Amino acid sequence: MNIIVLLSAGRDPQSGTPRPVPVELQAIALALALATHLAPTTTITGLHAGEPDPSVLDALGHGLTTLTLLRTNPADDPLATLAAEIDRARPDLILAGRRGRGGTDSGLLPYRLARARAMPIAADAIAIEPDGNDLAILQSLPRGARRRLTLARPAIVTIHEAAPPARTFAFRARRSGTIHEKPGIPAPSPTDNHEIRPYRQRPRLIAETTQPTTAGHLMLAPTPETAAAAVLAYVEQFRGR
Amino acid sequence: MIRRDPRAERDAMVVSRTPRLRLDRTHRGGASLTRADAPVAAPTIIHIAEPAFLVFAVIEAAGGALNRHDRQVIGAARTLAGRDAAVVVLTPHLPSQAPDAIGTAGGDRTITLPTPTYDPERSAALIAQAITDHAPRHVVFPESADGGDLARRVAALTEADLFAGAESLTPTQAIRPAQAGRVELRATPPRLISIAPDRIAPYHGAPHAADPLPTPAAAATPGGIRAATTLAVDAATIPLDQAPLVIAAGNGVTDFAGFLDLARALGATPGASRVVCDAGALPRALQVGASGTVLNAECYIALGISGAPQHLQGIGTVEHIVAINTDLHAAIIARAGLAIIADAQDVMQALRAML
Repeated sequence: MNIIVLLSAGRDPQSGTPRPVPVELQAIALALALATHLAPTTTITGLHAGEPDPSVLDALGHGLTTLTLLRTNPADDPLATLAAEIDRARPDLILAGRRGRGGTDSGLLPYRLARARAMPIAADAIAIEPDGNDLAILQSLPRGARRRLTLARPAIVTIHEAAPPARTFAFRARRSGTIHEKPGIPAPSPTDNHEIRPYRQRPRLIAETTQPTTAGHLMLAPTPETAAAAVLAYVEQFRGR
Repeated sequence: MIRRDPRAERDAMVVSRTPRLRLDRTHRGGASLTRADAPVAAPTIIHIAEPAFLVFAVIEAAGGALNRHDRQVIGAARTLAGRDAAVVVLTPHLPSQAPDAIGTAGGDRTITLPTPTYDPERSAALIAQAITDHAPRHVVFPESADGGDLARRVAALTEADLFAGAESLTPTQAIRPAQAGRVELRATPPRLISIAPDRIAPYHGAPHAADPLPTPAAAATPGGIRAATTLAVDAATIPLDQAPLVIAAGNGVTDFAGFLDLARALGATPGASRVVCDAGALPRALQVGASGTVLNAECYIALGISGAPQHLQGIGTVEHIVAINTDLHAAIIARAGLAIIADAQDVMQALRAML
């Protein structure tokens, strides 16, 4: 099985220095875990379109052994470059983080790639297992819920922060990793009219329910059975969601 | 609710006004009581027959009801639409009383998407078809797990850019964080926008009509997602800050083994007040409040908890609260949707017996 992990140039939220995107490192760990289930011929390759950013090269220290670096201008649209490389490498599975951290952070690129290559995409995976010719994906949902999906191969899967933790950094592995550098396809991204400003914290909405509710129902000294029945009736709609 | 009208009562007591005002206070039959809620007329429903343009609001409506984020999405669409344009709410199939909820939330039209099971590829195809049919100026999505996934699928299908996770929205400007949250991007609102939770206010004005529109016709094609099953979760393993239903024990509870047993039977995540954790009766990780966990639950059951300010901070965003306490004047009774003045230990045992 041929697995590609998409890597993006990450930035530290506090200092702004290059730092790998944590969820992409978790994707590497998940690919390594998957490789232990599969035939020993499984290959895991990192893929990045852009400049050799230190944050991308650091992924080699977190368990990745091979990295394909497609040199393009960082301002370019990486879609055509990545699609061409996927056509060449013909992977069975492409992993990506659910959102980048350092660029536009919209999480849209995996979906555009899935559309361009007519592959199915599943979001927010925390575990991946082979299931015959398909893939069994465990998806993380809010409120601790989980959903199991069966996905046709080849597929793109984005990884959620609740996935198993990334491997720790090893400096020797970072130095001994292989980097294949190739030219990418220049594709100027359409100019957007975004104005960029330093981030300003805005207050979240305060829930309207923090004020005391006067419309509440009051039961004065009921029997325990009456009270329990009232509680059950009130709570029924929230159980087993 | 019955409310006194002192002016009417006084008028009823008047015997004569000339040569001087004489009041007869001996008989009390003059007191007239009016129902305070009777004269309130039903609010007029706003119809927008000839909209200047359309704004789509795609909601999740998980469990057949609108949640807070859904109402914020419709509110955001209402903001973009203003008075002259119509908000079209794209929703999964809802129970019959829910169109009122959509109208109250500010929706002028509804389009029901026929997706009975989890099928994001089909939903995205239907929404893309509706965009082609109606050419809305904006489409607003919730930036939630499934809503954000759907927004990106639609963006990829329609080859449009997505303004993901907007934190501020006006008809002329949308703002979202980028570059690891270090900068913010400002732009005129583009076509596809997803809004972050608890950032954009829901609509509070007069209700809109919420007329149904026909369902978009898109051919069902077999997708890459072959099967999807939602797995049952053990409520006790959900992190307290994510749990939808929390039951918490306070000083009014003495049998903690019975309390944990009740939580398991009810399918609720157990919590505790500071007093109980300090006494060592329940682990510190269960503490709810300012120095414990701040909840995001939908429903909270407080057993024998009086509601110290620090505890109420921890349940600030919870919409539905059940309080069982012996003290009628406890702060949590004023905050509760269902308040029961009784001994928590007795009610707990009765509850366990009923499950």
